[in-house]
Parts: sequence; structure tokens; C-alpha cells
Amino acid sequence: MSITAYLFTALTAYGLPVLFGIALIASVGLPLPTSLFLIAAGAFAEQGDLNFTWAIVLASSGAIIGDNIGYGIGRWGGRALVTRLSSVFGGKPRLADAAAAAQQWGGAVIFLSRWLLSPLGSWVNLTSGMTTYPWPRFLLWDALGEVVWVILYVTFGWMFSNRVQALSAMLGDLTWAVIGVIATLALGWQLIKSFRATRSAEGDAATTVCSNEAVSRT
Amino acid sequence: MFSAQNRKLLVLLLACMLSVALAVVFTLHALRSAPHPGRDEPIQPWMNVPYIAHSYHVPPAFLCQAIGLPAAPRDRRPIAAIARAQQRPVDELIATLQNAIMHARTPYLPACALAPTDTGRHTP
Repeated sequence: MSITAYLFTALTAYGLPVLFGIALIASVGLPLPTSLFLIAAGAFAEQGDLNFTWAIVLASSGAIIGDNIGYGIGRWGGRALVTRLSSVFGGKPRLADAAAAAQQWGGAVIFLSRWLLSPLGSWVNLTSGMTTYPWPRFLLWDALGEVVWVILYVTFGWMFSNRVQALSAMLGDLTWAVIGVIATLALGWQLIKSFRATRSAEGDAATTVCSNEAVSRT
Repeated sequence: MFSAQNRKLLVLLLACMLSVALAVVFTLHALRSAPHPGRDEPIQPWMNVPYIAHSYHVPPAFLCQAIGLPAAPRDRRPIAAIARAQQRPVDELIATLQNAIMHARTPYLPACALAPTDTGRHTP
């Protein structure tokens, strides 16, 4: 039996404490299908086997605690490692750039990576810690995002309580589709910018050649 | 052959095409795996009898009877735990449940040897 099957068996047998533990462990970074567990929790709540409100409270709490452990690992473990490596390989300016970008975009990225782009969540925890994103702000965006995620998935499980596996597979696929769309937009924007830069550089070069030829003729 | 600028453009174009492919493939996959009324969930060892009955729209008491459990009180154990308690392989238990589900559904009703015990579709 796989670890997922063991955890599901534990969830069916022992209920909410297991859901809390799964949400916590998965948020630290262990690859577990937490969305499936949340949907299943919603389905079990619909049948009266779990309490809907407590499922949301405990799963959110577990996920928030796990995220903050990940942030701590990034801040006090990863940061030291990256600083040491960047001083050896000369990447200090890039580290400063990354920190500046995190300050600017961090809130939105943290919030969205909790529910819409959930496969990126653990990495965002680590990088937020490594870039020393302010912890109170991290906690705020993290808590908001996790509550949205848990409410959405447990409610979906409640609504489609007889189709847990199909719903989980569909939501998992949709998450990756959204990641694909966002990557396409970002890369497309970069492509357009680079194309314009190349065209203007070529135009400048052609103008310089023409003016040089005109000067040599006169 | 390629200038540095053109090489960068080419890499960006390839990455862009890859991400478009990712988005398209996962969207199509999502559409295919969407919950469908006519598609049954495969029975898994973590599922309990009330969930299976709910998913397959059959009376829980019918399934309980098929695997030798009392209809009441509601048994919330996963079928893996039930199989362990009954000292039989979980696959065998799943097969028994699938057979019971097949007979609980309307077209198979007359052939069913199990007596109806709940107010479900099998009751005439």
C-alpha cells in the first residue's frame, strides 16, 4: 500500500487530527496529494463522518504552520547557504535583485501560490525566507491564501461528494493548465520585449552604417 | 551562425511554445477527467462502505450485507481495515463489493440473491 493509501486509511479511521497532520507535512514540502485529502474531507463531512467547520479550521491551521516552518527553513538555513555560495561565485547583486523582486511581488505570489498555483507553494515558502520577506506580511498573505484554498477544496468535496477522485484529478490538471497559461504570458511578454530590442538594435546598426558610408562619399 | 540576441529569441520562443503545449495538454486532460455522471469511481482501499454506497448510488445496507457486516451502527472503517479484520485480501473484498453494486443496480435486480434491506432503487 502506498503512503497516500496509508494516510487515507488513517483519515477515514481517525478523522480530523490526521487531516491537520497531512496539511502540515505537505506544506513543509513533502509531496502529498493534499488537495485530494481536502476534497475527501469535504465528502466525508457531507456524509456526517467529519465536521465541516472543524475540517476547514484544522486543515488551514496545519497548512499555515507547515508554510511557516518552510519559511523558517529558508530564512535560517537556506539564506545562510545561498549567501555563502553567492560570495564564492559572485552572485551577490542577483541575490539583492531577488530580494527586491520579492518585496515588490511577494504578497501576490505568496497568496496565489497557496491555492491557484499550489504546486509552487513549498518553493515560495523557502524563497520567501531566503529573500528575508517580512515575516508578518508573509503570515498575512499565507493565512489568507490557505483559508481560500481549504474552503474552496473542502466545499468542492462537499458539493461533488460522490466524485472525489475525478474532481481531484480535474483540479490538479487545471492548476497545471493555469501555471502553463501564466508561464506563456510571462514568456510571451519577454519574447516581445527581446524582439523589439533586437529590431531597434539592428535599426541603429543600419543607420550607423549608412551615415558612415555617406560621410566617406563626401 | 546565430547572434547572441537571436539565440535568446530562439530560446524564449521554444520555452513559450513549451508552456503553450503544457497549458493545452493539461486543459484537455482536465476536461477528460472532469466528474461525469456516468463514470464510476474505482473502489480504493481507503474508502469506507458509506462512501462507496454514496458514490455508486446504492443502499449502504445492501453493501454491508454483501461483505458480512451489520447494517447498523454505521461502519466508518476503511475497507482495508475491514479486510484485515476479516482476514481476507482487500482485492477480494473490493470484488465482492463490485459484484454487489452490479446486482444492486436496477437491470440486475431479479438475479440478485441478496435480500433488499433498505429503501433503495432495488426495492420494487
